[in-house]
Amino acid sequence: MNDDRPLPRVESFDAFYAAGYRSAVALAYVLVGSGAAAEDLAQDAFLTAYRQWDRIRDYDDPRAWVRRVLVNRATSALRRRGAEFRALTRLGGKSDSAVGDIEPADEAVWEEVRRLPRRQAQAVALHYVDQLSVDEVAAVLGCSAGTVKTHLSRARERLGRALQDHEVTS
Amino acid sequence: VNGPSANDLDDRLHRASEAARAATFDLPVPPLEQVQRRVRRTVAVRAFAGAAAVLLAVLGVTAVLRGGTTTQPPADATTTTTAIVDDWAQGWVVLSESPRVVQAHQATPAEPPLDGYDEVVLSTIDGAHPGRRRGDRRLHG
Repeated sequence: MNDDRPLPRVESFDAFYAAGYRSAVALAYVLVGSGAAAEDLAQDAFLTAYRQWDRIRDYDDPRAWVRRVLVNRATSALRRRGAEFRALTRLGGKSDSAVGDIEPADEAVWEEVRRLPRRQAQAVALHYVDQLSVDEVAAVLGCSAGTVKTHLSRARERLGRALQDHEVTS
Repeated sequence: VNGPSANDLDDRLHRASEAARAATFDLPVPPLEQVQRRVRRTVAVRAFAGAAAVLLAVLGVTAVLRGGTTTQPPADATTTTTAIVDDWAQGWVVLSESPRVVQAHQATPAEPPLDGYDEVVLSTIDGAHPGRRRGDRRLHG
């Protein structure tokens, strides 16, 4: 997304939902590692938005609101129900989901992202998967752009080391 | 051991992101009515699981108390969060997230007292997280 481009005013929830659902699932997937759980989280986030649509539709960027709900729920769900999500993944958790396969090399990246501290993982997911600028990530996470830059920088440091270790041991 | 260069890492993150987005290209968008039905069903299942968890937790605490290893719980030592019961006797915490993760642990005397009731001990019954983790959920505040 481009900072200079005005966001279109969203009038129809159906259009908003249809336009954002798949990318929301992708965002949730990289944070929780289960296609089925990612779909549930995305649907829950949009349903929450639907229930408050009269208010949210007037926001400058309703998508950011949904993203905030989604990443917060994804990481808290991962913490609370990590064993369940991991079990789903081990048992082929994507079998009950239409989320496509991801190459092992790419999945390895997301496995390491999921091991990052919560805010770092959220910043990476929003910046790379959702292709948000630093300022947009800051708006979603409710922090400053400088803080996002710090999260991204530290995340890259950790990921660099972790992926190197991963390759050495595999 | 040197890690990948900053550019390599950035490229790898972009590739992995493209793969994640591509994995959802053909994903059907479920009608909102279907989502609402699923959420209602999930809430009902969670309520049932919560009720089962309450029963298991009570049975667990009862078993502990009958074992004579603890004293009666303090009067204010029970708190309930959304569809989840947290219940403890002195020195014991029972956390119920779902029937699969009901387990009681004895807090050792050396550990901080539970008088703040703002920390819980979490473990899964399948042993995926044996032991205890503090501060997984704030019960108060």
